[in-house]
Amino acid sequence: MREPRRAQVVVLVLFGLLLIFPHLPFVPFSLVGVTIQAAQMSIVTASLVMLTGWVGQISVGHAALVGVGAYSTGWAVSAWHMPFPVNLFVAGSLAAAVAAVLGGVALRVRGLYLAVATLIFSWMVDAFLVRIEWFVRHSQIDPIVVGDPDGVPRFDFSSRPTMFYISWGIAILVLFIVSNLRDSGTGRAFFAIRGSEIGAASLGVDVTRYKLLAFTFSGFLAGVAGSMIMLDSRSLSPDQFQFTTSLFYLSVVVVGGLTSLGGGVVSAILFAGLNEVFFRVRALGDALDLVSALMLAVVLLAYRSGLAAVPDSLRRLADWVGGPLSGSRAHGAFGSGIHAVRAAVRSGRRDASRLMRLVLQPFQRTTTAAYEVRQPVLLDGPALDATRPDATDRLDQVGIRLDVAAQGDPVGDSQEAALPASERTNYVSVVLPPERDVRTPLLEAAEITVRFGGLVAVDNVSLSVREHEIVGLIGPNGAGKTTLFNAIAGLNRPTTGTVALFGQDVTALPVHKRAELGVARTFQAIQLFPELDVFDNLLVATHVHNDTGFLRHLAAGAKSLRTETGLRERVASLIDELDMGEIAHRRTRDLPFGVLRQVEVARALVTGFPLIMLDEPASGLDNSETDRLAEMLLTIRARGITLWLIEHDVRMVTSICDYVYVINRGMLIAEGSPNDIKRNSQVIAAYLGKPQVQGKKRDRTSRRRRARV
Amino acid sequence: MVPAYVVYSLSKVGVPLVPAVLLGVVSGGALGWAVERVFVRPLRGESETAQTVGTVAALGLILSVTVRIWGTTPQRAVAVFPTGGIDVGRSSIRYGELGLFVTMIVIAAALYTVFRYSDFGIIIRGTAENRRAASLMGVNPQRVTNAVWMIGGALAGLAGILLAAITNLSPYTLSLQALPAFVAALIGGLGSFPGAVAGGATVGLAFGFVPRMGGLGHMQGAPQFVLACLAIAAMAVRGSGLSGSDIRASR
Repeated sequence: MREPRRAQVVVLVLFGLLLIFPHLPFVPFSLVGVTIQAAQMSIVTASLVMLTGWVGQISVGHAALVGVGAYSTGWAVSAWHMPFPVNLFVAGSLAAAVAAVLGGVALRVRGLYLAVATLIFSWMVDAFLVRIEWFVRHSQIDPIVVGDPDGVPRFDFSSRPTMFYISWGIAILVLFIVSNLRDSGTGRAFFAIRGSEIGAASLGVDVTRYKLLAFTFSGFLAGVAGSMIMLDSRSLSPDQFQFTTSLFYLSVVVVGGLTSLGGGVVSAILFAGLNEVFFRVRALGDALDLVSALMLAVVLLAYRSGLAAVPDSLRRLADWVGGPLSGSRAHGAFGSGIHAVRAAVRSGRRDASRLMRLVLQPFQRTTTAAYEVRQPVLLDGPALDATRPDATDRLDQVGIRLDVAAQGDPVGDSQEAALPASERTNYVSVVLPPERDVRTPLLEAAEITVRFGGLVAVDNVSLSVREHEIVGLIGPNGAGKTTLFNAIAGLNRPTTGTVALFGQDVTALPVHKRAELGVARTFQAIQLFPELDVFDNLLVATHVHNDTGFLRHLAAGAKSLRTETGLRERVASLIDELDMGEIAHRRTRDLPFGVLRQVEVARALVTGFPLIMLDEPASGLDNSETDRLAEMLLTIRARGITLWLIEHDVRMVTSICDYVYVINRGMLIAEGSPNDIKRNSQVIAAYLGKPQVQGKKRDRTSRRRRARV
Repeated sequence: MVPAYVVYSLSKVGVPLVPAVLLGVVSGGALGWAVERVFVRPLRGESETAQTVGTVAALGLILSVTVRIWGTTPQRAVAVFPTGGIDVGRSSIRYGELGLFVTMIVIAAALYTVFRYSDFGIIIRGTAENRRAASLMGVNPQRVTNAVWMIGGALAGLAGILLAAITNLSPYTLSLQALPAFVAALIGGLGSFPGAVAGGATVGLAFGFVPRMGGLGHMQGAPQFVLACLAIAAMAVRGSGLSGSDIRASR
């Protein structure tokens, strides 16, 4: 753990410098002003990094939200004489409220509506609000009143050093809580939404709620920044919060590296400095807009990861120039210090808890007792030696599953031990599934019909998936499998019919609510989160088990860290168990397709849900990959997890499923055990496209035709 | 916006009106092509966020370059149509407004026809839906994209030239001119002709009536405020209905 310790030192040194900075003899007065601006900008940057970098939502009206904070501070101070930290909170809350309204309107739909709504809001503020007399009146505040209601200033906001400490104090606090957020369940939900909204929803993430949460919190931070701008300058101009300012903020964030808080801070400092330079040096003219737009373009097109990647590039450059130099790693120098220190603390805790490593078991909600009824069975005919390699197959033919543990080991009952050796081999301990009907159904779809306009895609199909079985749904292309699956998973509402999960009617529930009940799924077109590594992808799946809330995540309190450690432990041990250690820290966008399928199944497994639905798990896999997947599914079933899959690989379905439904042209044409299905004439007809009943006739005609040719 | 400025500068150095407008439209097309080449193409296949930031970056860059060259003070643009107007009752319609209206109707009709009935329109729609499938049909999607961006840029340029002629030429207001139209689309709904007319009428009414309502209404910017509120309300009411059909269709 040497690395984090070095980071710790770097952070401490930076912090010390920060403390004495305004009093250093060689620091000019204006430079302190620049750093104050940088602190304010860092807060805006942090809010945008979270919103745009992590959640993928774009606000082009952030300056207007900053304006809301600034003006409400003016109002709070001049009309209510609110003292300092209170007015900051009031400003933040008002901006958050505005953001909540805008977000509530725009975030319910996927896509760029937030950008539209914020653009309109920005236009509204810019063209009208800031010009109203009321706003103009509150655009000035008196430095004396700011400090204290009694007229004795507690904080003298006209003093540069005071303002410096306050600004950076708040900025560091903001960066701290936002970085806490990133490492928490909330932050993961954010990243997951950016990666794949539908994937996130299938793991129980309420996508709309989290987007709204992100934008509201982002609005709060913007309001706080605005409040500080007001306290600092004590007078506002209506042009300060225009659309172009929002673009400028966006440039700062992109140049910083979009997802990186540290890069964002460095970028904020850089731009605050540039701002001052352009202000001082008249010869340069008022070209900051142009420069920031150019930098935005260059970073976006040529150096995507922005300033955040600079240390990395430098390291690579150093490696390239000469090996020994590379020892001096600039780790943590670029603002990721806070995070590095916290990671060090956390990994310490993780080591400690590894001692009491948990054995992975499905979480609380897993199933009741196993259904197996073990009983000795006397087999007819010639004695069956359970140790024979083909024993399992032969039993399988009569519908009995051999208990692996008991293989070759006659049931150790006392009465049986008394039997003569020649007869003993006739007894094997078998796992005898009880009748299908008596087992609890986990999923029941009743009389589902899905119509698209005049087209009936699914016609009155009922099916059930019962505890501890693997159920397959097969059908040729275009049979309506996916439509039925989507109706059951909650992606589209069935026209008529009901869907029940664990005995509860879920027909009207959204995807994430269904997931919360305890059903995980995989997708035919894989919906992993490409920017996250395998470990974090699996970690998102613990979402519903994360019982700590947003505020705890912000503070990174003991409870939140404890939960986090527990969840990480579970994922780590599952990764060990599935032998995925090698790829655990590779981003999923860099992995081949076959592996991604397995990762997605693993992710469904991490949820610990008793039911997993798989949408064409074998599609796109070659034969050996399919076999590996089938094996994986059987192992999962052995953990007591129920599986339902739709598939058109008949071989796979009939080899692993306990019960199979077949649909064709939207209608259920057969159901039963795989062996029944294989023999069913209608099924064969559906797959080969030739009704058997008329087979002879057709044969004759075709032969005749052939003869003529 | 840029084509409007190009026309402005050209006619200032003595280029006659017709070639100036033509060159302006061409510059719009060229700009459209350039934006696609520089900001859209390299980001294809990246995340949606990166693509959107890319177009925002293009807007920012064009805006600030325009400000550098032509400044922020509003200029009087060249009148494309003759000055004067027709009297209708107590008010009058200027020829410029009439010309803009007629031109836009003609262009809209032409676009609709091309989109709907020509091979080229089908190619465009197909490419928009699925680039790979279109390229399998022998279409070069890149060429289609280029063409669409160039046509889009040229038409936007023409609109800018005509719009500037009846208002004035200022980099910020002109780039935000599209907003009322956008609001109209939001209010009326995208993709329905009666809706668009209703939306447009609402926008027009707001600009006409709000200033006469006394109180804060007479303030500059009040119509914008009312419209913005309407637009946000429209988004709230229509919610997923706004784009619901597109989403469902694409799934």
